[in-house]
Amino acid sequence: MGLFLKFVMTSAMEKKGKFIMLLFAILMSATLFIASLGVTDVMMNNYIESYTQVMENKEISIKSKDPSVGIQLDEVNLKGVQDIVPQLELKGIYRHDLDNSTVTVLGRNTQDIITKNINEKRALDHFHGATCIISQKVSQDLHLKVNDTLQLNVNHQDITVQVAGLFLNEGIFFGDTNEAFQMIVPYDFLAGQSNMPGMYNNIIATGTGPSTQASIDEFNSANENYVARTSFTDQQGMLNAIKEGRIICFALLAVVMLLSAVIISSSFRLIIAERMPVIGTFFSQGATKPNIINVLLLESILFGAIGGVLSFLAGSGITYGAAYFLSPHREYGIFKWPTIPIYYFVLAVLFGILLSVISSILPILQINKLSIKDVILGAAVENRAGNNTRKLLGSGFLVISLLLFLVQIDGIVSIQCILLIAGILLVLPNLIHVVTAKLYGILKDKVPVLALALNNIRTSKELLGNITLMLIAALSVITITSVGDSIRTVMTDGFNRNNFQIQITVPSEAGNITDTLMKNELNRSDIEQDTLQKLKVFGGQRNGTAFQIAGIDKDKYLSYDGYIDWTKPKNLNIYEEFKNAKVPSVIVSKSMAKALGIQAGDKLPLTVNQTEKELYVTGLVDMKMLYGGYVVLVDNDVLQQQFNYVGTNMINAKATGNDVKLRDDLRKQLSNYNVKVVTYEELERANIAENEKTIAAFSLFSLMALVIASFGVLNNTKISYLNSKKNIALLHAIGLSRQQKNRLLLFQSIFVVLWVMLLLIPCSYAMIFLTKDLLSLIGMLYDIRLNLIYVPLVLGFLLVLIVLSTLPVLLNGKRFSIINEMKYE
Amino acid sequence: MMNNSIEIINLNKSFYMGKEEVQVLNDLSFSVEKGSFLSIMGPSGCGKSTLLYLLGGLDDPTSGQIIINGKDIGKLKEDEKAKMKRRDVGFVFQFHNLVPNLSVEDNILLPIILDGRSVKDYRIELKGILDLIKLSHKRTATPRELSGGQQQRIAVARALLFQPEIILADEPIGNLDSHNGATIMELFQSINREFGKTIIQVTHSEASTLYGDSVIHLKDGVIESQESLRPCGRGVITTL
Repeated sequence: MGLFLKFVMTSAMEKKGKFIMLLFAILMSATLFIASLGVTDVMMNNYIESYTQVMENKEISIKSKDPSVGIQLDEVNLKGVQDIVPQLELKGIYRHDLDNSTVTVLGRNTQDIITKNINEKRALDHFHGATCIISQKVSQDLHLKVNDTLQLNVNHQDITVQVAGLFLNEGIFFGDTNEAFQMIVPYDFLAGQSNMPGMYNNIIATGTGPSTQASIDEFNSANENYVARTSFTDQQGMLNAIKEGRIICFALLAVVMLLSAVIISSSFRLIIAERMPVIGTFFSQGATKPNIINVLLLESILFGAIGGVLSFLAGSGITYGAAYFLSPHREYGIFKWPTIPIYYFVLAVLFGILLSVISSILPILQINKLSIKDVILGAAVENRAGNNTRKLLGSGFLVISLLLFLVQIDGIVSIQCILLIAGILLVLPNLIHVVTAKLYGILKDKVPVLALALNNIRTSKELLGNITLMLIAALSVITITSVGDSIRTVMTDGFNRNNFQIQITVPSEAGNITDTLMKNELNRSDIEQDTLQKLKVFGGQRNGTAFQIAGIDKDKYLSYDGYIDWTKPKNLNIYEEFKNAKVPSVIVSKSMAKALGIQAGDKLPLTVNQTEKELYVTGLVDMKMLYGGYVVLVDNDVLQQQFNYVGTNMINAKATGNDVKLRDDLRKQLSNYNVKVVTYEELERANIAENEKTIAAFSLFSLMALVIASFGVLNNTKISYLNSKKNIALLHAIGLSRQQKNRLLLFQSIFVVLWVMLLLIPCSYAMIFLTKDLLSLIGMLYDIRLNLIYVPLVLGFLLVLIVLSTLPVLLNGKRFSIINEMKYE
Repeated sequence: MMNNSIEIINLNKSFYMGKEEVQVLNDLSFSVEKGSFLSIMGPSGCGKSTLLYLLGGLDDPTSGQIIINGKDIGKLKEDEKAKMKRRDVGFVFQFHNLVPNLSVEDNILLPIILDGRSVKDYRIELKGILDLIKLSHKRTATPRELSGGQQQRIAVARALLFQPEIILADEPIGNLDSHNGATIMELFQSINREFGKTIIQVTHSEASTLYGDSVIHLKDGVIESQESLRPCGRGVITTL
């Protein structure tokens, strides 16, 4: 068998086209797999790092239970914590060019400031009195140099500080942006300014226990007035979102894999068909079917392994590229290359091998069905029995799918869709056979070349393969882009459908100024008072599941929220019950209810402000992806009465006139408050920019699907032409002109796309329903809709592609030799 | 020379085998009278099939002229050549060469279909020819459902249906058993005698030459000899 293996390897090298095609199909899928893992790792690491760096790797934050009282170091029992950094942390506003930046002002002692280079050490020499340290990024972006002075508003009072030094955008400055940045000032200066001598309001520390929670528990049990908590409560939601993103990537990858599998399978079918005479020779010399199957399997494994190794390199390249482009401070030279785990190499190779073997196993096992005598005599014919099974199975699937559709049983949409798509793919060759045979009969007398083209589609495996391949490719692209669009819609809708024109962000440190603002400052004729409302969104946790608590003004909220479908009578009834409830109540999102096993009428224990209360669940509502999908709506008054929680994140309102003018007026009017005023348009722009990366990721998968399909189609068209050359030569011999030949080939190509066109829309709908159902199974309740605009776009692309793939054949027509093609033996 | 169906003047054909040029036909000149039945014989590689392909316009000569029914086919455009194949010259190949995805009926009608003529106008001829080849019962079958002999009869029928003046046959019975071979040759003979069609066949079989009027023997690309099989029959005029 060594000899046959040698032949196989030589063939692979000689038939470079097929070898490259196979490798390419494996490479694309495996690369996307490794890139999906690598890029989401980078995103998670970036996010975790942005947070841990800002916290200087200290995972515990200690605050006073009573926010109005500071922390006295000598009163704190440091059980469970170590490496403490006490600081006075205040929020401030830095106004510049009519815009505001939120500044977190950290009052620290010099010994608690970590320096990374000699310049930073030198900066501390001048770090006394009304001075500050800011990051290089903020210095550049806001044009602030050393010795410049800044005017800040901290705790309702203006203070002026001089820049003593610029630090790298690492550590606490890692997350700095123009809109929100950190600043270190000498502790004594800030304590003096805020009248809190010897007092701190936040101590960050590392734990001494076996886990963060154990350390926190130890500290909390030793301290009555102070409370320690992990800094990651609010961050878990973001990490979950990235993990969800990874699952979506894998779902998209599955579609691309399907395309690769079709290409690998058809390539192996052709390889085996081409090698049949040699297989016959080996049979005649005593080789057995298992011998041949083993060698072909080994070949498949080798292709998979080579593809896997290459995909690890390509996937790593994409990961490195993504790490660079996703790095927040690459323009400041701060960039860390990601570490790609070595087991990803093993995963890539395994993935490549599995994909290759699973895709090629059916054509390889067909060897078992061959008659050794027929193979030796060169008379092996394809087993037609399989086609009948395929036809019967496909018809059965379609009938069951139709019946299920007529019966309309809830919860079996997925089964219907799977049966419909599988049924169509299975009966496709027979369907095409029946229809084209009929059309051929009608047209042969009228438009002979057209009729011959139709007839060729009916009988050419490659052209039929092209229809399947193009259909799957078009389905992949339409599904991926529709999913991408739907997720983008979900992400932007959560924002876009909110009914407001002006938003005032109130940091929690600003204190309970919301009511004052609403009564005294925002009671203006250019604000629609009916829409003026408070919204507070903060993190909660129950049994390890992170969620968001949204505090709303229940009498006005419906005028603001256009995202959740409150027009549905069921949802509206729940809201009315919630609004008129006599007991403290909540509305819970369906996703969260599913995750926590909550039902309407249950009591939901909620911990806010270190107080736990049970609130009545009036109902479950599909809140789609509002704040990540896991949400509890609570009335602001309930938060205040039950939990003594008054902090407000935002005040939203609609303007009666020009919103930009209102914004500018409010910025001047509220300059004494630490608030930030923005318009809806400004937030929308930021939101779109934020979503662009996600859309780019989806586009990558669509592009890959198109690229793989394009190569498959080009390959199939070429093979189809090569296989039909003898017939074309024969037709030439009996009078087919060159023009007729060209028309014949073009018509064939166009008919392939027409068939795809006919089948695409029903299959697309089925695919969309299926994707929606499958995503909901893993808790992602996206409202995925088919975007019909992609149908003509994709079909147009496929038409251009197939015509382009036919062009070389048309252009090379003059070189076509009837004699060469009809040579016997 | 209007009585000649085919005239060949100083015909040369060479191929490149790797870098080496091989002269297959060497300055060949002869003519074939209308209504004659000529057999071309010779050892393998002597150039007989190449000569037939050149006559059928399937390949181009290196130099020289081929005149079919008064037209120099070297001067015909591609489209005119295609039309000639559809209307004037029928070709029968050694290996049947039927289109596998068309029925018996459509294979026979193919030159008519390609010529854009209505197949309805050929119903009677089709029926007649199917009766002649005794395959009326197989008209809707595909070639793979037929035996080798049946396929060859269809190939002959295809070359006859559009009533070409000339029929070229490349070893038409080379792959058939003696019974089927005799049936095909009788068919050619009756076409030649009853309808006055010019037939040129390439063959290795001495027996099959007996159905025709004359034979030329090719060797190394030149005519080694010619013989007339009927004393007063039509034949070949060789110009040396």
